[in-house]
Amino acid sequence: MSTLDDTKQAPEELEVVHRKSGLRRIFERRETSLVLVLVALVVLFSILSPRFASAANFGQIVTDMSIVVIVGIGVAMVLFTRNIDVSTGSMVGLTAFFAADLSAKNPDLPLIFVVLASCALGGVLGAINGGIVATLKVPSIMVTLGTLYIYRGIDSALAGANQVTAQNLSPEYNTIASWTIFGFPGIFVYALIIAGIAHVFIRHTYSGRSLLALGSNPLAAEKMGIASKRWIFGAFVLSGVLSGFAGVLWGARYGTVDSSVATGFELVVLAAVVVGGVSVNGGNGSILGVIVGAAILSVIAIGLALLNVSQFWLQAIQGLVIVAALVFDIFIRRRVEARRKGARS
Amino acid sequence: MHHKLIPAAGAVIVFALALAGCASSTPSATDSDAAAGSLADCDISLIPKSTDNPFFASIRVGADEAAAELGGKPVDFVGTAQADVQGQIQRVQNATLHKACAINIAALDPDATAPALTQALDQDTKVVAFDADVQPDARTLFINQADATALGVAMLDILAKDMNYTGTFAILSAQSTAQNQNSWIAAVEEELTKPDYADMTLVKTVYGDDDSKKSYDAAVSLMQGYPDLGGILSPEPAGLEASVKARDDLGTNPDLVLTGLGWPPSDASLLKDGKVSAFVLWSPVDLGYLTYHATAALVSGQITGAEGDTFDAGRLGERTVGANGVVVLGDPAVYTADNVDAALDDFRTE
Repeated sequence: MSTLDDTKQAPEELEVVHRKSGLRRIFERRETSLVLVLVALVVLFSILSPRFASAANFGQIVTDMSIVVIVGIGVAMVLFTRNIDVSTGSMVGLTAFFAADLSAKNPDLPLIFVVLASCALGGVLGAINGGIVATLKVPSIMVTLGTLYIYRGIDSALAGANQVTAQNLSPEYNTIASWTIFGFPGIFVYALIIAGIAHVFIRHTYSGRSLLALGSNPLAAEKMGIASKRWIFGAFVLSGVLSGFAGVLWGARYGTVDSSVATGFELVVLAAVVVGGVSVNGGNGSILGVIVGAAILSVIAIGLALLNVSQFWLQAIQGLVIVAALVFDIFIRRRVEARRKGARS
Repeated sequence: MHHKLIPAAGAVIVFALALAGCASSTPSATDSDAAAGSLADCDISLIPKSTDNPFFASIRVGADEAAAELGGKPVDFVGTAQADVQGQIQRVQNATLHKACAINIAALDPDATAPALTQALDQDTKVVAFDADVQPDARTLFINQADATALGVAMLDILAKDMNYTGTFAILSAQSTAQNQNSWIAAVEEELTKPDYADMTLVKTVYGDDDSKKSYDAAVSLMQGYPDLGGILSPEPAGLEASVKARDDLGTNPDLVLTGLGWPPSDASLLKDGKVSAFVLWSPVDLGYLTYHATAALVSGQITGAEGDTFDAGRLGERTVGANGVVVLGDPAVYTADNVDAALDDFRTE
């Protein structure tokens, strides 16, 4: 995709935090309240469990959220265009088996080739989604719900009763996900690099702004000459490519790969993206929001696990904390908005 | 696009229903006379927990081996790719509808599947459970891989020896509703009350649903939630593999003892690398073979399933129906680095 290349022109813009556009200030405010929610949760769990606030545990949290962030960025791009992708769980599952099986059967194959092949397969799966949505104008929820089943079916047909375990894979395959740099998990480095590129693309390129404009007002965008079909197609392809990369990471991280890998993962990703403030009505949201959303979910999951909450209650309590966090988020945002209005008058 | 959401949602539901319909309308058995005594006309639906699990692929190999010996048709191996209780119930109803002469089932949930199986029994379809039992009145026979007590004791014995009979441990199981795992866990807890194990404490039982990510996350939580944990006993291979990976990745509990059930084709290297000293299992090919022989004996009217009935189980010799219609395959096998390679033939999947 040529669009990704022109983002590399200005990586230093990542450092620019205070830009004066009005739109941007709203986004900043949106994220500010989410970050406050995240901090509140971290403080809460640190008080409740002495083991929570440790370097090892924070390493665990960022590792846990990384795959969600990577897939979440692709899903956010799709949501920006006022579409949705619910097929990511099956794309991750299918590519995870494809990549692990490929590497197990061809141990001499360079891993970079396995990663690229998996991303390419993901890209093809995403292109099928995007092609149908963009050219046939079928609602994306129907298309991707259909392909969620189709891709999982292909995964089952391909894997059958076979499974690839960590023992079948080369030790190097594991290190794709387990390397660290100064104790910092490498898997999170991938997530940050991808997030950085996506952030610059969305905020600082004409293409990225076109994508958002398309989602916030498709008719106006079309009149302005933005080629909506191309952007929608591109967003789905990106979602597939990132799912393909996540598939390799999944196999490397969890060891055993069978046809059930990442079942239901599409909902985890959607939850993180929506908690992170990306609007399902298109045109609104940010990459930073996706990271914070994924972090909130991981902090809640790992925090509750450390408290030894009974597993039967875990999901219900997890949902409860998510709802509470979102209510808290809305409460803060209203307060901030009210204060701004007060200051202006 | 906003206002199109409602019809779109409607269409999604219709689409989902259509998918479910497609999945369940696959013919699992052709019409046949349910009461027929001849094996040659007998359609047996073999319903595993999931079709993608190599364990059940081996069960099928054993069942088809017995079918070939006795002149029966290969079994109809029907189920969902992933474990799904609703899917199992649909397969049972399907077999009943097509008047299959017998159903073999490894139940994901002994209660949820019982009503559908009872309906099958009512129309004289024979029901034989294997691997994981259902409610006793919803089946005639249960082919048990090994006596629950023997399995529980075998697993705890490995764990206790490696832990020098001291310290805390946790259990990482499959689904919380799985009857077989639950019965082995109960056996472990029972055995634990003996004086030999006075210095060992079971701190928690968690469930990974036979899924590598859920099991891995559960193992990580255990290691973090209980920093002094001495061992994890996992009565299913996915849990054992996930806990080995989690222990290696975290590196914080290098001495954590891991054992339970292992799957020799995948897990032999865990034994050879010294990551696990020993694990337990039985021959799934033999379990499938015995299940078919028992089902055939019921269909031909040779036995009724009453306690004390005996039947010929081919290369496994004569078998007797025990109390509550249970037929036991035999003692569980303990695999170590020394004997695991010799046993691989018992786990072939095709």
